Amino acid sequence: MQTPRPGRDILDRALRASWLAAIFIALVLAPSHPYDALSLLAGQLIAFLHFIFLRKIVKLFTEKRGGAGALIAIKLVLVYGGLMALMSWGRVQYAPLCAGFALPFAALFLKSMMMLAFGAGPASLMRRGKPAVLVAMFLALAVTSPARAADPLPSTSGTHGATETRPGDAATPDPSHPQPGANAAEAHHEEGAAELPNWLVILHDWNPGNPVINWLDENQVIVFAWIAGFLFLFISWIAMRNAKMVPGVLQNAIEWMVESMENIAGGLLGEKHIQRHFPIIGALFFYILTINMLGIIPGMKSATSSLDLTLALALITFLYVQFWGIRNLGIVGYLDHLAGSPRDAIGWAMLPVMLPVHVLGELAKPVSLSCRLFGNIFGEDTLIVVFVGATAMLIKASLVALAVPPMAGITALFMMLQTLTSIVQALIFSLLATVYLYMMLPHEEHGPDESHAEAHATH
Amino acid sequence: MTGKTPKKVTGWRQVGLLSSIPFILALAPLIGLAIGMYLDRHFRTKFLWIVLLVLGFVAGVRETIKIVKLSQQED
Repeated sequence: MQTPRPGRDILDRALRASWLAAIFIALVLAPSHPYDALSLLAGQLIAFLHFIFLRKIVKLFTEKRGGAGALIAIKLVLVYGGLMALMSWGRVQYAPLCAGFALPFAALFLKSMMMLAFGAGPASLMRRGKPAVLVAMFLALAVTSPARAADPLPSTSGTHGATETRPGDAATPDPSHPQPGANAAEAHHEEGAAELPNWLVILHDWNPGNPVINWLDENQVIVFAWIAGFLFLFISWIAMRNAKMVPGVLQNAIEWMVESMENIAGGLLGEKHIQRHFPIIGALFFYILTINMLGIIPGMKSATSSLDLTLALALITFLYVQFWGIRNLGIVGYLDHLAGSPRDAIGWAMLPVMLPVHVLGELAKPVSLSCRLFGNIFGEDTLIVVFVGATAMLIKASLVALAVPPMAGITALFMMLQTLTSIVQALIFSLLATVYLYMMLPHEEHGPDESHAEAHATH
Repeated sequence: MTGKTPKKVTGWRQVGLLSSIPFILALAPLIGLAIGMYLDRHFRTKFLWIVLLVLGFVAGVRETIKIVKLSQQED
């Protein structure tokens, strides 16, 4: 964090790391699947070009020089043209191409998470640990790769993507499920395979015919979201039932949490706005935190591991932010903001382009929020399921004494990680919601070097 | 109360902002594509998806520039 431009530094290192990872994976794949390896490298190359050009564009904008048009054109032709050419070639597989394309993004995300957790990238851990860590990692890879080939857990990944039911194509005949109407049950069955059974599943198995239990089982996400909401209300009620000037333990803890959250959000929004907007920011934080934490209790499930709930939360944030945008700017000002504030002929000529771009940008922010929350919580859950499944498999293979203690240790470690993720993701969701609100709200203090684009950004 | 915002928090905010860049970059064109495909089906056209894909990409870049600027100011 000491570097003056952390963004660029992270980007450089993430790109380097992603190249290393791509080359390593391609080398592993090359003997058996040469075209897959090639596709992976091509995807990585496309993403790499993407980033290189992106950085150039960002530099152009932040250092305020003209001539970005040609660069954007070159980028579009090179990246998307290359992509089209690759796809029309026919030999290229989509899955490795997408994986290669995702690698730098994943590296960037991991890097920033590591910076958040340890204040340094993963490379620093290796530097500290000397080559021994590297050797251990390669050994672990070598040991685990043949086991992966046997794939002891067919339920976790194999069938998930293939038979996913979409509401649109219910009419397409699929031999795997005879009744196309049983979408919900089918979806639940797939989901149940990739998750630890919660008490609703157990209840359903115990009494499958009961309509109430069936309803509860089909709407697990809602049920667990409600449970979390009531839990949150109940805890707050217990803590604040008879609030005293000298608080008890629980009241103290809750007040501390609320106050620090208010400090964090208030540092961004300012004294004037925080009074009005803290209720929703605080509610988002504590609600997501409760939901996430609920997943750690065995027999419970984090409702945020479903995209439905995170999208709903993002929708609430989106509507709230847009509502305050309209309320502060007025309906004309809001439309003007969406149109990119056209003031001259060029501005009006660009209107058909700028309007969708602004609308898409406004949409992308909440969706990215929800995808991040969903991805993190779902990933953590899946990780624990995989390790619990592996432990069960080892028990079945009567390797209990040898293998279970390390497995249990690893699972416990991941559970601790899950606690950390829960807090961090709740914090990040509410903080970014605050940032989006901040972009919409009017504020007086502007930097001296305020450019045209920045005027859009902060209004 | 709000005066003593710890320095650590700015770091968290910065990392939160920066780590949302990959999501926005990847999702903005996808959202554009989805909207474009829906409009294509609705209006029975064939080209809207690619237009909205490119616009989505532009929107992603715009948001990224905003985010980079926002993360570099006031810390």
